[in-house]
Amino acid sequence: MGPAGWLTFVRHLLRAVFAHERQERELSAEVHAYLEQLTDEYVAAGLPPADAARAARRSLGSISHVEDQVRDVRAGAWVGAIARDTRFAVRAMARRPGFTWLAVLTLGVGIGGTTAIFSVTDGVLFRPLPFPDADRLVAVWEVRPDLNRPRLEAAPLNYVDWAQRAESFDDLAAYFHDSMNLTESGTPERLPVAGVTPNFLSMLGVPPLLGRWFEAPDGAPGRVPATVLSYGLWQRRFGGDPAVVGRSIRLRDELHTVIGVMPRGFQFPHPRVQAWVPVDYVAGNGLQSRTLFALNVVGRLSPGVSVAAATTELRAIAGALALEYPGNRDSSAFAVSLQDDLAREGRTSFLLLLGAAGLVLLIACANVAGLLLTRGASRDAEFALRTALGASRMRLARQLLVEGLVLSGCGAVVGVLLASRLFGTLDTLVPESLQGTVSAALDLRVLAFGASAALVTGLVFCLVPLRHAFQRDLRTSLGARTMPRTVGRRLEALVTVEITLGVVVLFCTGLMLQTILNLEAADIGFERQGVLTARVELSQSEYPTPQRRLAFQRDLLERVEALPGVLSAGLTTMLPYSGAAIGSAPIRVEGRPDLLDLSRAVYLRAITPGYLPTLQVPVREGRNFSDQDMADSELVAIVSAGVAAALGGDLIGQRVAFGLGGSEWLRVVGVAGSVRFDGVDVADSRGALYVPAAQLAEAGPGLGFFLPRDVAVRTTGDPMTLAGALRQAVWQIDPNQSVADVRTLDELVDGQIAGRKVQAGLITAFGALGLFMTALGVYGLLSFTVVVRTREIGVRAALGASAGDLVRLVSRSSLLRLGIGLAAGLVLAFAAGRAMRSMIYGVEPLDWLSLSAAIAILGVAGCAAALLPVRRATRIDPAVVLRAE
Amino acid sequence: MSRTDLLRGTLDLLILRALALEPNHGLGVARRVGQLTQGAFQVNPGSLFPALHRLEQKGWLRSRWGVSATNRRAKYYELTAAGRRQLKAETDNWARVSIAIGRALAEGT
Repeated sequence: MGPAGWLTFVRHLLRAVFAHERQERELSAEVHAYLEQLTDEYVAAGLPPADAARAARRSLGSISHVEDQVRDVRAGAWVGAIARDTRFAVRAMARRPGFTWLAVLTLGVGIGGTTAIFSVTDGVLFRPLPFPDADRLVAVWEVRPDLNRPRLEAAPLNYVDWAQRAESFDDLAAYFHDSMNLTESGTPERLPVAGVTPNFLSMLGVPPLLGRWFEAPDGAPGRVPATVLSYGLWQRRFGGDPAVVGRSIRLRDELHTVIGVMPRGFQFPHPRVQAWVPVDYVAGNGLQSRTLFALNVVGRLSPGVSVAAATTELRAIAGALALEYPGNRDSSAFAVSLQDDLAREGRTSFLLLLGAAGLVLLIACANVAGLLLTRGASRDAEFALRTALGASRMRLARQLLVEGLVLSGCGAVVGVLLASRLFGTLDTLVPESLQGTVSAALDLRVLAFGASAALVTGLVFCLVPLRHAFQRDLRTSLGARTMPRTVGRRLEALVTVEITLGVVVLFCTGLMLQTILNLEAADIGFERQGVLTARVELSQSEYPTPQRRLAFQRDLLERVEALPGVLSAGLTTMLPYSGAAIGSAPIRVEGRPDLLDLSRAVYLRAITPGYLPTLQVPVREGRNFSDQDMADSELVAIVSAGVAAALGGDLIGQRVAFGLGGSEWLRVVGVAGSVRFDGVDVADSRGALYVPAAQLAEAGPGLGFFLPRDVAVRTTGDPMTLAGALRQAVWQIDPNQSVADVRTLDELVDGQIAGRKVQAGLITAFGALGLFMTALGVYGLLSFTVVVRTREIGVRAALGASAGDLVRLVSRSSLLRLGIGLAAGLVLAFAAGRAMRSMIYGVEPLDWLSLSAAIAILGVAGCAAALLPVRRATRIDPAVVLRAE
Repeated sequence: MSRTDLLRGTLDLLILRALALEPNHGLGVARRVGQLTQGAFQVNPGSLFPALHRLEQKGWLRSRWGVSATNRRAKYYELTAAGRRQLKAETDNWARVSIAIGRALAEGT
């Protein structure tokens, strides 16, 4: 067919769809005109008009048959046929509202769950990051086997060497999280910012909305500091004024020239970041160290270079550096695709949740297939009649398929609506590193997924009734009243499948619930309840000297401790879980020969004497800091128990130092309990080296970063009631001081396990749904079995079978199926447990408790579901049954 | 080519041929085909109307309502330019096929 032919065809197709009525009228007129002309011919041949009309009718045959033949050749004949089938299906569904609701809701829940999980999974795992050529972006990590860490942020000087020597990359950039006080146009505010290398923004390839990117001299020593603003900050603080480019704003008490504004939606490396400031390590700015692991490194591979090739080159460079610098011994590095890197926390759990949702969808399919099958059996007579009247098998199959698809289509609509209600909750599942970049939302991909889920489920649950429809024997269907053996076997197979899937879902639920309980009960090393926290970042210009800062802090603590309901208060560099844990370096012990054989890195935390008691971190040996540990007294330190143990114990009285040349020698005066800085579920977290805030300046000139900024206040009642009083206390001392992140310590800890809680909640929901659906399915199928065997049971009862015989008769094969299902579930649960290994905490992947609970619950539910129909079987009155024959 | 396809192709060709001279309505086409084949083909309405509609959809015919010789309203079909080309092509093709088949059958005797 040429293009003109296609055009004609499309025109006719459109007419078939949109001008259907007119087309029908014309067809009828045409056939009638033929009839009249034929009559005229007969009259002209000499027949009387009445005979002529009869003869013409006889010669034409059935008018509707002729019209049907024309309809069949029409363009889009199938559209009309499917429309007819759809109308028929909808009418059939409306006639049985109970069945329809049950099927649609079952499918809706199954499709909804899967679609909702898919919407997040898609964003996190599959959709490319929002950067040009995102597949060439990689993250680069340092590896220090001696520090027992699989990946570390890079030490700045190592980054510089990688960037200068590696040829696999178009560009290698780095960033770190920081915060700065903005004292400009309005109330002072602490801004989360990213310190970045000058090539960072151009490497990512997202052009600024206004102004320009950082370029080489930006961020070099002696340059006027520059900054690029986020879209959000530009709108919020500067009213979206384009003239802001070129202006100077005061950040951390230094004037920074605004050189650009990033477009809306650009939020790398984190959605909280409000501005970017350049630090040029190559030019000698920033932290110049090989032992402080501070930089997140991201790079753009040169075209055609693989991640593996880049890793090989990085290893070679790291090997060379290890020879040049003794501190780099055993150091290595590797590259990994940026997308995989950002999603690494979530990958397993997303795939598992998708799997769990998929299992529930399968159970839903099995249920609906069962419903259709039982209904199909009762529709045997209808189908047999229609076959007898000449409907082809293809015709019946098409109708079954259309019915299935209409059902699953309705299910999909319900499902997508359900899914969209879940999106808000699901966003908490997105790993921290991707938050903001990825969000669960209804879009074309998600809709397409929902539609394909509906299509596949529709086809899947139609298969069983379809095979059944094809294999039916006309006579038995028209005559018999018993269920064919094949239907029974298929129903039983469905029950087995449902029970198998049910065991797996319940087992996963058990593992997740235990994980949550274990995490809640995990010994994180401090008491999370009853503590109010806030971040008070002192500005460098107003508090330039350690004395000024100490005075402010002493004043603040005195005021806070004087508040009614306050038990104690303290300050620290950073509270656990108040953000990504940063500021760790190796610890050295004076006089140890293996100075550089660093066994562990520790977090340096400058604290006031009230801090450890406020968090109820116990001092196990030695003493806590006191007000006597002043700038002019001996420099002291407290190490956490894990560090002390790793260094061979008995550290009290010895001297230690932070990093290589990072600090003076500090006399260890105490050993405190271990705190899980690296995460609630990280039992072997890096430990802490505590120093008195009053001695920080003396401990090392480069330690300004570790200035205390977080306040912790232990209260007698609800901590949040003191939030206002805490702010007032700060503002009474200095009205221009920002107070940020006022929240309870409990919230900080909760934030750590919020994602896991949502996971557990979802899995539990899937488990409950799976259980409910399985029970419902088993009940429905067995009830049906009993109903169709009513006659047989009646006859047996009449012939003297006891109630026990009847129960055995009806339940024997159901119980067998239940057993097979449970056994198969057991095997699959082992596999599921292995897959969940990285998601669970404090529980074995093959946890017997979860497994036996799952089997017990399903066994009981299955038996209960089987019991009701069986009871009905024993009450069948043979007289009634036989009379009905 | 299956038997029905062969028959359908023949019917299509005959209809195109019947309309080559002048536009005609359904009954007229049926009668003309009868004439052209000297009564060998009697086209019944159950084949005629689907064929006319199919050819129209292919763009080889177009239709309009008109008045018949007996003063009845009737739907008239006529060849389009594409229809004429198709008739020419089909006729040539048919000639080749029938010569070939004729030869094949003649050799067999």
